[in-house]
Amino acid sequence: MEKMEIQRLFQQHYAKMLRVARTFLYDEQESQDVVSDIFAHLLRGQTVLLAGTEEGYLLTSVRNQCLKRLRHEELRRRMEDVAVEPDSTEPCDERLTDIDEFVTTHLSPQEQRIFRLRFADGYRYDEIAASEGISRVAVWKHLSHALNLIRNHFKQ
Amino acid sequence: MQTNDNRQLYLDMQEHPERYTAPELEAMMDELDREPDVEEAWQRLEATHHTSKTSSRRWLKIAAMFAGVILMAGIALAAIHLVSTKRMAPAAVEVQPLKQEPTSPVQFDNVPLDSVLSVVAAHYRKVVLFRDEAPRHMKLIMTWQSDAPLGDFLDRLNAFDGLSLRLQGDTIFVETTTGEEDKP
Repeated sequence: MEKMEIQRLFQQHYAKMLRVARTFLYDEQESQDVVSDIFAHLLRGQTVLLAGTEEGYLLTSVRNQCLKRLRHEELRRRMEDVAVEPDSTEPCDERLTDIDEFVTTHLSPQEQRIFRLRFADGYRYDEIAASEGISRVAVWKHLSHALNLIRNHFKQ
Repeated sequence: MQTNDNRQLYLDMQEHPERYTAPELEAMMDELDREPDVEEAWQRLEATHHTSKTSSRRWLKIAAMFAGVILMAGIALAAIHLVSTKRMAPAAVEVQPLKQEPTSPVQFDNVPLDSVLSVVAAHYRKVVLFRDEAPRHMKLIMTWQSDAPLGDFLDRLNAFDGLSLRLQGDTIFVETTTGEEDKP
């Protein structure tokens, strides 16, 4: 893949990718690292992305890398916390499967849309608000409600 | 968005939005949606990439030395190479389309499974989760029809011994299997 083509993708998708990373990690430096790592990898390889799939690939890569970092962080915290026995929690991937299923079966269609527009597609809060015809604060509250439902459902 | 206190505030705002005023929530959203300086970020990336290029190539050579070969029979007949080294970078996308059209078959030529799945999953807008590390490094030589259903492609991969892929919701779960319980 030509460097100029990668630069075009960078200019086109960097902001959106950074928003998704910020939403997962809430750490500016870590979020920038995640996005930069993905493009650094493109620069290293003989890479061809199918036309029309670039954005999907890049955003999926961001989510995967964020989940990987969160898993590492969770593991590190668990190891540091002597009060938690390693066997007492289910595997992270197992939980993610359940969460995915929960989103589909328990959230309202509007909350599913808002959840995916923010976490999967990296839209800005004002864009989601405009698309749903509600205020930005209402978008935040829908997301908050969805996350709280998920949190309460999986609380041991 | 730099300190643990701020992260705690972000989490608390998510959990208890009723404790915060609309302007406070707006301010948090402004921060999360702040536009980055894309040009500066690109220049930083270019500078970093330039200095790390040599060491990255050296790593690839070392990885190649550890590669073993296992031949697998599937509908598309593929060769899978198990690489026993740990990966240092996110999924590579070393794909070479047979033709230039977007919907043409894509030839994966000795490409690690996680790279293959990154491309395929992005096309179908799915997320990939590896439940163990070994399958990430399996290298494939196979063809993917991007206009075919995802299930067809997963079925072909599931034909390989020791490999299990399962689509659940928007997530493709990948793991190795030791017994024959997952095979027809």
